[in-house]
Amino acid sequence: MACTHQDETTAQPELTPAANALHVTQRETSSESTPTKKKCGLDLAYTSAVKTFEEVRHHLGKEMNGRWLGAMPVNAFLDQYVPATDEPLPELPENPFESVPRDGVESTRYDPFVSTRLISETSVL
Amino acid sequence: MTTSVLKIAAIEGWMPHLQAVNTNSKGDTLNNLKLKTDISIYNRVEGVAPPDRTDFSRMELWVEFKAKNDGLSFQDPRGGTEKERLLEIENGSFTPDTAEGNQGRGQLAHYAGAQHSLQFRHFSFSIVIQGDNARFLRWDPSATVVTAAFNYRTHPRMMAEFLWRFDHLSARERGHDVSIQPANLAPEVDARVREQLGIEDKNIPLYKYGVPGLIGMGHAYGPRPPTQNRSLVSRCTRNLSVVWIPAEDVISGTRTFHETCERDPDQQTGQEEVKKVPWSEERTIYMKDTWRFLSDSPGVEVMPEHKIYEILHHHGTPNIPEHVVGGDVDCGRTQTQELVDAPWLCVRPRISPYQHYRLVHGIVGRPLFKFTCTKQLVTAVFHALQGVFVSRYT
Repeated sequence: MACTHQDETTAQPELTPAANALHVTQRETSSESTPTKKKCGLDLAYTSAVKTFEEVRHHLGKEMNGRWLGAMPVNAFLDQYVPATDEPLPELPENPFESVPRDGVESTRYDPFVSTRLISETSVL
Repeated sequence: MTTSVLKIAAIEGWMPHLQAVNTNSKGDTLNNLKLKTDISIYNRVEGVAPPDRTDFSRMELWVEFKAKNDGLSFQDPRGGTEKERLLEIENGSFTPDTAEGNQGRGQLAHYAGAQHSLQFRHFSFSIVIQGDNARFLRWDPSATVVTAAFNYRTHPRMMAEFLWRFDHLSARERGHDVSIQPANLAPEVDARVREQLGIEDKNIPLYKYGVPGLIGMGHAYGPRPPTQNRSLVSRCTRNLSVVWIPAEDVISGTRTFHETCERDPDQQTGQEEVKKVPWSEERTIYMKDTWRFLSDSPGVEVMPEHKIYEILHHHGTPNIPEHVVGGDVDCGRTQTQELVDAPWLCVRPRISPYQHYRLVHGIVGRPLFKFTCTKQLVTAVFHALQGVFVSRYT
């Protein structure tokens, strides 16, 4: 909770057991964020229930149900959300993603992908 | 040549303003998150190497790979006729209702939520590659737009076009909320702000927040709001204490609140009254940053919170903040709700429009759980009930 009191610097007395209990309850049910459907925060500062990634993602997936809008045609998406620049896309090399492996574990694809030249040598500068 | 140098050298010319980094093996420890995207794309800074790990607070774009082919998280419609399409909508087939599909979509939402939580964003983009198929995604607090899958090997131009265009977008076009900027305060002011907010760690960056309704009168300064690693849909409210620093001419009195506040010209007038409003002097104030719900019914307007305060004040409601200013943040309206009638939609959307909204008031409270005696707790609850009673029944 970012809300702080101006007298925060003054010493606070020890909380009684009851106050401590309230403290925990408050943190568990903090109303700092008020979205109506949020139940799966991973922010450990506000929950006593540590959730695994699998649990969090399960809830996030459910929470997003009905909010995946697809399948938008790629060109329509580009035109609507990613406006073209005045600089036209330079000429592409042939098969720029050829070096990205098709088979095997997915981790073998990361480096080749980030190293892909989408723009041919001759079209740069 | 080491691998990292090779990577950076090889992508020269691909995206002039951005750099892609393989971050799959390095989670976002900088922000105390264990999350890691497969590829993170950062702004290119002359003479400075990009982060060698996932850093959700700095990434412009992320890419998620799945070895298996498409169809787990999203399934494009296969039917060609209207009847078949309607049947697919009925079955919700675009997002297969399987545990694996739900986990996959939840993972994407997890990353997007982390990025929005650690940055100031109105929307963001990402790329998902499953097997040979790629999709582009656009996230905002209403919903997420997902493109049809395309084979990025056989149609590399689509991928290149997206990256080329994205590279050339302005910060605002990439989804950044440009009403918030790094503070860049003079050292003595920076120290004063940190002291007032109780920020001891000098590595915590401060930001300058524009406050709608007080534009031109000054700025609010404070840290990034607390991280809330959760889905980014809905109101996404974040609250924090900030320090209000008025513009020089407001402090010196050469400009009055009456002259500078366009929204409430009748609220305060005259030199003497200027000192009574919290924004006429440097002080700690409370800020609420949220996405307010907008009705999608024609002619129905959902009243913003500061307007509700005005009504409550008009009726003499006790125990509520006296001075409240708020307003909509520029370019902060969600857009995905406009797609509900799109012919290509194969889901039944349940989406609502939202508007990014910021509100400040002069009272900085403290958490109720920090009460020091029972009487204090009971009094606080009593005062709150008084306010509720008057607002509801008078």
